[in-house]
Amino acid sequence: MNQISLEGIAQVVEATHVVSASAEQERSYHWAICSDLMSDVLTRDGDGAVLVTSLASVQALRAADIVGIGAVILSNGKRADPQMLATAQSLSVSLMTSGLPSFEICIALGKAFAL
Amino acid sequence: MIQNLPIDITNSSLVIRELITRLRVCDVMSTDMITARRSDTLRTVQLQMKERGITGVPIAENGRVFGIVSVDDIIQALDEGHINDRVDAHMTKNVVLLEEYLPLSLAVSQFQRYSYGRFPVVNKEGLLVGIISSRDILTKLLVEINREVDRLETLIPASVPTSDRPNGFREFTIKQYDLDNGGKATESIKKLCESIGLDSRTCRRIAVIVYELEINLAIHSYGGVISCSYTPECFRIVSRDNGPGIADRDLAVTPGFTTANDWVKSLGFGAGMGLPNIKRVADEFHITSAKGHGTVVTVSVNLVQTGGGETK
Repeated sequence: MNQISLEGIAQVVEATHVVSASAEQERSYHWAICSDLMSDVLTRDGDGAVLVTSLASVQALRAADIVGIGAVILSNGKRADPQMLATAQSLSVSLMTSGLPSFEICIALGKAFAL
Repeated sequence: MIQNLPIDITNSSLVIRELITRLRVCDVMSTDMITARRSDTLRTVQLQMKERGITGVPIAENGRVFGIVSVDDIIQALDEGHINDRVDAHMTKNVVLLEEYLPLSLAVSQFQRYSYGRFPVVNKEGLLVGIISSRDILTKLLVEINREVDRLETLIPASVPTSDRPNGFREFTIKQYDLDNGGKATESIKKLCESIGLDSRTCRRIAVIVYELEINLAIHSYGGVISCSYTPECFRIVSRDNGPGIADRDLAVTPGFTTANDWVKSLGFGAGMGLPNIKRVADEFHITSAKGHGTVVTVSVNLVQTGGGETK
């Protein structure tokens, strides 16, 4: 599996950074979890993963933080509200938003990680 | 003059949003209604309104709705001198009907869209079963909010006496429907775990347990308390609430089983994985509950030997 930087992931999924947690800049990722249900996210060990979700809520960030996921990609152009931005900063979880649907983000990430 | 319902579907409090999503039109509508026939006169309808103190009468025969007459129609008839005409000559014929099982939130949006004071309610066969007014909605919401306030006032779960508190004791009160703060207890416990030197895997297991308990209290209970304590051998988490209780505990820990409503699911929860997740990562898991009573979930994570399970 390819290790991809946050910047590389943003390019692959056509995403805009909303919050870039400083500690995350050097981190790399090699797989993704895609779900809108946070209990599903909690069943996984999230080291090296990004979370793809259309759930624009602080709970997506909290669930990600609990299992060690360092970055969350909001799909379908979902926007983060001020509470979400503050929580991302507080938890040091990177946050970006992509206009692509979750399915297309997963295809793009799957290809990129497999290259 | 008819005014829009002063309910903001998007930005109201969580309690209001949950109520208008959970309640259906049939929970709020009046079934004790009067109707008139097309052949009745407007004078007849006027007298019905006066007698019952209402401002709108559906025109229906054998359950089929043909129109509606409002107090404005009556005023106009008196003004223009046709109060003794047949109803069907002056009634509103393009009536907007609401289906009885529609969520109340959609009914509210219809009130705001059309600025009508009432809507006839029909069943799946299209037959009249009731009428819903903005007053019905406000009254029902007031009753439900009062019930919620009563519940909150009586909700003071038994707390562990200070003198009996073990080392590292932490306690968090979780309010019903308060998902804005959901996860804050977990964040605090996770920091505690890191500060006492637990390895990252154990910290995550404990965080998953506390988070699922927190969310369960917020979405399934009337609110409750989560307490945590630890010894060198064991981290213990206890969740207590005052109801409504679990009818079937075995079913509740079955992956995928859920009693969550659509509102909860729209917030990313209610997948039926909460208790199964807790059970999966815990070394000891015990639940005491009965329908109509409170629930106590007691969970332990071994700190000396973290269990041999692959998923732990």
